[in-house]
Amino acid sequence: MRQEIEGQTGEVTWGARLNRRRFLRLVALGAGAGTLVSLGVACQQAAAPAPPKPAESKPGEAKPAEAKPAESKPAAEAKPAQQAPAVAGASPVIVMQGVDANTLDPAFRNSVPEFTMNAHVFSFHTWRDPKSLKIVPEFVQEWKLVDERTWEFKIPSGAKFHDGTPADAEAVKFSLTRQAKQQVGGKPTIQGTFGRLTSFDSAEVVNATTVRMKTKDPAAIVPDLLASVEVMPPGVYADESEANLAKIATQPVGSGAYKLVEWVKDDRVVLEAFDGYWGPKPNIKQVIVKPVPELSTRVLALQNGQADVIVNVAPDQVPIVERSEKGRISKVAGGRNIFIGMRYDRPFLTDKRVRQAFNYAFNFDAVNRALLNGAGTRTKTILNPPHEPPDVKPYPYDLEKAKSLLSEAGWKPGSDGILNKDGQKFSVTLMSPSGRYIKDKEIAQAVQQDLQRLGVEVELKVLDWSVYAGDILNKRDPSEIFLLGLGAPFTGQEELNYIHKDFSLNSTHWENDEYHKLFDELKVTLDDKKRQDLMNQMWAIAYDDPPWIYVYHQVDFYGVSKRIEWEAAATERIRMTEAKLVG
Amino acid sequence: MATYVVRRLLQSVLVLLGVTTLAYFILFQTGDPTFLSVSTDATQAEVERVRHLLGFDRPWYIQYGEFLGKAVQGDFGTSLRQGLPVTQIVLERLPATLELSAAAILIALLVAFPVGIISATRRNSVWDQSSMLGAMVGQSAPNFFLGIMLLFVFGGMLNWFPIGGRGQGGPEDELRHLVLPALTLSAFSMARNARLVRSSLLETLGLEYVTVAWAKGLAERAVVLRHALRNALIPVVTVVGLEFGALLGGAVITETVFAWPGVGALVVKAIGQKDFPVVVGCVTMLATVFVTLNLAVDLLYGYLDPRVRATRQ
Repeated sequence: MRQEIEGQTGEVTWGARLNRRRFLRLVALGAGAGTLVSLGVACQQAAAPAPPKPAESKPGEAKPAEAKPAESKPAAEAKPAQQAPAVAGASPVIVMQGVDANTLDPAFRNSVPEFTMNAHVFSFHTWRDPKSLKIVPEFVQEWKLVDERTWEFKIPSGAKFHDGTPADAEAVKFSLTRQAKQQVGGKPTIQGTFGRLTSFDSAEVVNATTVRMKTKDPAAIVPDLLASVEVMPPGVYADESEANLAKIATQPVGSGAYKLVEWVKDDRVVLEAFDGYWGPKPNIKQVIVKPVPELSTRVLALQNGQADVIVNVAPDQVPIVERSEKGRISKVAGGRNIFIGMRYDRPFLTDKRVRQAFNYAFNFDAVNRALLNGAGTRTKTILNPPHEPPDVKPYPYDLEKAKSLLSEAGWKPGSDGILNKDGQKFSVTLMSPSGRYIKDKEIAQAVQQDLQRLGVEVELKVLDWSVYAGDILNKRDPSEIFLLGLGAPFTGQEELNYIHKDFSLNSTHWENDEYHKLFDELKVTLDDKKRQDLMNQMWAIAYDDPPWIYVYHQVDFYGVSKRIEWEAAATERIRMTEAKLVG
Repeated sequence: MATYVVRRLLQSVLVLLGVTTLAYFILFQTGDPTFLSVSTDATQAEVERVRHLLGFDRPWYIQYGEFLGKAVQGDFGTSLRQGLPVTQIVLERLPATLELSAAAILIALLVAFPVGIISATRRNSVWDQSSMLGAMVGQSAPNFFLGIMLLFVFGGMLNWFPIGGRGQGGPEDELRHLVLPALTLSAFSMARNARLVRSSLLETLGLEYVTVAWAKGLAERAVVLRHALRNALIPVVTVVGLEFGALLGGAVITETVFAWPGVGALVVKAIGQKDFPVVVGCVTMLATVFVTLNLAVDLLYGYLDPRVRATRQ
């Protein structure tokens, strides 16, 4: 009878004791109590003096001198932990990037955040000076040509990797050989550039501090490219099994100024100064690198003293950071070349006068004022410093000149104001990604308006980067004109390669026999003066017969805490060995 | 009942298959990801060589067949960017997302129930109108905007809570990091449940058996909480179960704003980097949790409401 009544009233008996009413009551009580306790603790914690943590440590509290010996394990033993190992008395510097690194294996790293980690953990063979942008010694302290195809490198003695093994000539030989490989563990490497551009042949140990590297062809670019080659311990990196590759992707072992003590994916990487570092000891004892995708969050963290370096501050956020008590802006014209590619294989654009006209019609000053906070400068050449020819000027804004060039090329305004030739309207599509580069689609809109002033009909097509990259990169088949940015090498040769017909990202399909002939000569020329002369000639061709509308070198804005001394580099490299705590 | 459970299980498998297939095809329509595996100076010939090496030059049905064959065994391949098994990458981040979603649903219920009950019992009062206005704001404010505002006020201006991340200084620190993202994620659910509790309770309060309870001279508390609320809870329980699944989807934005290292932030990053295996893995994982919860709610519903069980039988 009891069961019947319970059934009618919706009372379900769950065993002898637990019925629906009790179940719901218990759930509600448990949840309520849990949350109240949690919130209580959280608020109490917030109200109470905060425990020493990086973000809230006041200037002057940092006492690196009193730091106890680090208790961290070698990187190879590092495991994801719940609590970051802290160096007592030291004030960690927090770097916030947009995304986390994917892999720290030197053969497969593929982005700036990954290079940032490796720049701390590994020694590089050479380094590009952030100010002069010239190659300076790092682990390779001297280099010379023995003959046209043989380089000799001198390295320091007594250097050690974080696992205690010697960072010696054998390690350098191994590192050069591994980084030159086109495949590691059966997978295509990303950094095979070194092997291809140097035409790497072999490396040999001469003595404990001397290594020689042979190339198949003369390759003046070797010292430049060594700035992207990490020194690796053979004992850790020689094993190409799948298990070992997975391990070294997240547990790097280098001989750099910092060792990795903890990496919680997509949350934080904790780096700690390596006592046995062969070079000058860094001023900052602990560096924490955090991925924070949202810019507003990064800016707030900087304003609140919870970050010391934040990347990719948008121009419109610059005044906010500059007004903040704790932050400032460090800006630099980077090496990333933003341009509008023009397809040489499309009939409208084969005539170089049309492409020149587009360059004259682009009003960069208006873009700079409205979108870039006045911080940009128009790209003068396809070359980055230090190879940029001296005394050259960018295309000036000259609408009349642009119109006259189009007229010479046979384009006359029709009754509707649109240019036409042989009964065909001058109509093109401009493709642009959205959010990939600073103000990319807005710049594309400005170019659209500038070209419309010439009488060209321009349809703007803005796409998400994942779709855009598919069309541009994979098929090499974008619209007639398209916005793109290419990375920041400073070797000269690599920038000039961007418009080479064989370059996989060159979707302009631009061809110029003389340019390609000079490029082949440049590749095997060793004399610096002659190389610069060749580069100048190639630049002159690319200026006169432009494959791009030259837009600008992307200006990079970094938010920097006032408690550290550090300046942004055009190379986009962030390395805290070059920073100093001042507050 | 057994037939019902089997039928629901089969339906769930079909849904998962559909979701996974859709995600796979949409992604591969955007172009193959060969460029992730070559350096920027690569020539076109080098790109073709790598494309062949990775198997992206094979017909779509071969690639899809291979993917499906492995996926049913829980193997979603290897991340193109990280070089690690996708299953491992996704499972490492799932606890963070589940923690955030669970905290959000908890906060939502703790606020929604009292607000809904008081609104229903004080119908058309100032409290009712203001709380329902608040609920409307909660439902219409986008997570992105709300998250930034909470960060700005409680993280920036008042400095009560840390900005971004999951915390690294033990349970208390982790809890402090959890509060703002959980509040942001709970806003919509909180508002919807408050309205649902209110309307459901109002409907129940109008039923005859409640009138009888009043006529018996029972106290308001007994009538509302013991008699009316019990029956008003059934639709709420159904919605809450499904809502937990929906919160996992909402976590994509919240995790990005708060740099919360969960599956949502991972999927955003993977889409941006064209790491297709990771995207498909994340979508499948989130869909699995959603479908499982849906199934669990359906089954639990039978226990809570004997009428449903009777119908099924």
